[in-house]
Amino acid sequence: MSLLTYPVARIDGKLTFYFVSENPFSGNPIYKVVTYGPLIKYGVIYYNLGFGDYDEITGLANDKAISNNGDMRKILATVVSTLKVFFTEHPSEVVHIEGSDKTRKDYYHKLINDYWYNIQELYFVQGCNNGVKEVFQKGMKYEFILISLKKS
Amino acid sequence: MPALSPKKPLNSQEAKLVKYLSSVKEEDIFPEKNKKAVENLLKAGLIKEDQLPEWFTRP
Repeated sequence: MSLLTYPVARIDGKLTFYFVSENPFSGNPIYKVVTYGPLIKYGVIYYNLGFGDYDEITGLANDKAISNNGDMRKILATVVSTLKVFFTEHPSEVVHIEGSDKTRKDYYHKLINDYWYNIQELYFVQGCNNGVKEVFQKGMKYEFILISLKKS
Repeated sequence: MPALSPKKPLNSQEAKLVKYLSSVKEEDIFPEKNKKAVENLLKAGLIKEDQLPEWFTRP
């Protein structure tokens, strides 16, 4: 994908990454955390792509925080860039993506819709509703999205 | 590869974040969704109490 992304740092070889969202106007850096952890959904084990802000007050990551640094597109493109690392190491696994609220769900759908031609070159994308999976259809809304490496 | 090591010294907040992320498992960073899914499986009888993952019962 030829999208602008932030540099990403990885933690100790784990499937945990972080990057810094910089607002050129406010100058407030926001630390973003991306993880891939096991998740059971409808009896199937996936790797859930977790994504959120680091809350310096609680000292924890929070996937419900709403930060508006004006760079959502660059942030999501950076999150997507970590898929490359994940699939290099886990080529047979499936990544589960589900927004923690309607806004995030809508944004993930929009990202895939907007960059569908870039994404579908590398990845096989499915949408799932009520346990029924189908090939991701542009314009459809899904409960969650599954991404796997496209078999050549 | 998009994942790069930070090249500059970490500020205090970033150092705190790295320390935190180093100390937890991936599945414990955003555990809520995972827990909800396991709870649903448990309610539906698709898994039993003795099949619960270790992180689910951890206080």
